[in-house]
Amino acid sequence: MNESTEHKKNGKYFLGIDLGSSFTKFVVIDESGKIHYNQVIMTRSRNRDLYQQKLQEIYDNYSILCSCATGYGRKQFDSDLKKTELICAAAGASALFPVEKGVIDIGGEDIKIIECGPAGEVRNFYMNDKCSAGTGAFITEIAEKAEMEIAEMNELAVQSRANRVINSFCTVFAKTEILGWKFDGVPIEDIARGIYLSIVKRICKMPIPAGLPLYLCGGVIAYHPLLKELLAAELDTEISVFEKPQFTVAFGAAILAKKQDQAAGERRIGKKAK
Amino acid sequence: MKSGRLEETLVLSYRGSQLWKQVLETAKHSPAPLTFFDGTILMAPIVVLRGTKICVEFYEKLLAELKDLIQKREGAVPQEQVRIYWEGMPVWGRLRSLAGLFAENNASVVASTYCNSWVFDAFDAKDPLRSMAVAYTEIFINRGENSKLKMLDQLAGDFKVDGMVFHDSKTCFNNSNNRFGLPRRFTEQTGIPCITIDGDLNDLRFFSDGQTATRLETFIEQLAV
Repeated sequence: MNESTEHKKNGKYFLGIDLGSSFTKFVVIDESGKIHYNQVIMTRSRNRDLYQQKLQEIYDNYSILCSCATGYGRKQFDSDLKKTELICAAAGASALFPVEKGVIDIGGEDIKIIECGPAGEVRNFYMNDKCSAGTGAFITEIAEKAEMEIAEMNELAVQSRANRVINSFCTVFAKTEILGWKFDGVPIEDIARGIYLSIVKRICKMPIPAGLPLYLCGGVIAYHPLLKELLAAELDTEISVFEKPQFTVAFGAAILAKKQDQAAGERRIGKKAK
Repeated sequence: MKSGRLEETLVLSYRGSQLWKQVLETAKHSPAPLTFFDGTILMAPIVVLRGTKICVEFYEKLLAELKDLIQKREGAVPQEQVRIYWEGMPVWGRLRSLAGLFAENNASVVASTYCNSWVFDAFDAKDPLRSMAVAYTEIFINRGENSKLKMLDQLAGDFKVDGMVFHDSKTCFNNSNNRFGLPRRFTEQTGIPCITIDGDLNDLRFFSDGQTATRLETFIEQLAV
């Protein structure tokens, strides 16, 4: 952040907050949509000190004209706008790539497939239901059983060429399968790859838009980039990952805050003209 | 049974049912003076007191109140922007929160299969047994897929709905009409978008507040554009 605080305080900025089930993401953009600030903290429901501290830091340094909260905890935040993460993912994705597309958002507790238009309009969407298999929470649970650090999982999986897949979608049964693999002496690299392949299998059970460019976002892809390659191979298509994929939804929220402020400005001008 | 008692009861049943129908039809107005969520509470007399004077009197008073609200243009959802049809059972344990969710998003659930299932046009005191058999057989959940599609198309048109919510109730197969592709066929025929939410009418372990809110709010936003 090279700009002076004075400059920031006199500028026009928009805040997007994505209160996800695992992490809370903050993004500040300017009028051109350029990101000036992005931070992620763990979502804490009881201890809100860090959360308040981040907000304080943002409001001290940027003149925020409008804010938008999204994600599972969007109603907990006193923002100007509240939008679902599907709407925000589409807005963020479309601000970066204004084309017809499919967005696959793999989050802490859900997978969302969004078919959206060039201007961010949501045309169709699908979410996992009743079960969080194939999400960040699934990886956390399975990695623990497999006795591997989540941070090392991608590096381990890259070294494997195995096609061993966890058969069960159920996290509890999947953990039992992992236990069996460990008894059988399956190398840890193959276990890591097997976890990713099972996530790919889960995603492919959902209706993925055909014939549209596909983009991946969410926290899971940010830390497990091999998933992109495995998914692209399974779907036999190219898939892109947004820059800063964990912040795509918060960025979309900031974009919607900016649009809201511009619309309010136009209304003000309209009233004056009358 | 005392002679004539069945016919007498059927006359009251028919009268109560017709009044209930008129009550529901007030929601054809925009803004609708009542929603599906109000209907699930107000339907009690037609369900358990059908064939009694008290049922008829209750709906006469209710209808007068609703007509008054229409006159004053007072909607159950004051800023009604989106009109929705609810297919399937209510999520009984979440009536309040779902009513609030739709209202906060300026969406009014103006019609439903469930509330309309207590409208019995076929009752006829001159032929009580046969007419009851017809009335109880021709209701929505007893019909084939093509008839269901026609009935939904008719109601969606009559109530000028923008979108349909199908509730897939885990423990009530007969009232979960999304399962043989009815939402897809409905959208293909009418162009009206549908969404399916997962839940149950009594076991809330099958219902996720967060997931449902995200789906419904996104759907309403899609319809409002």
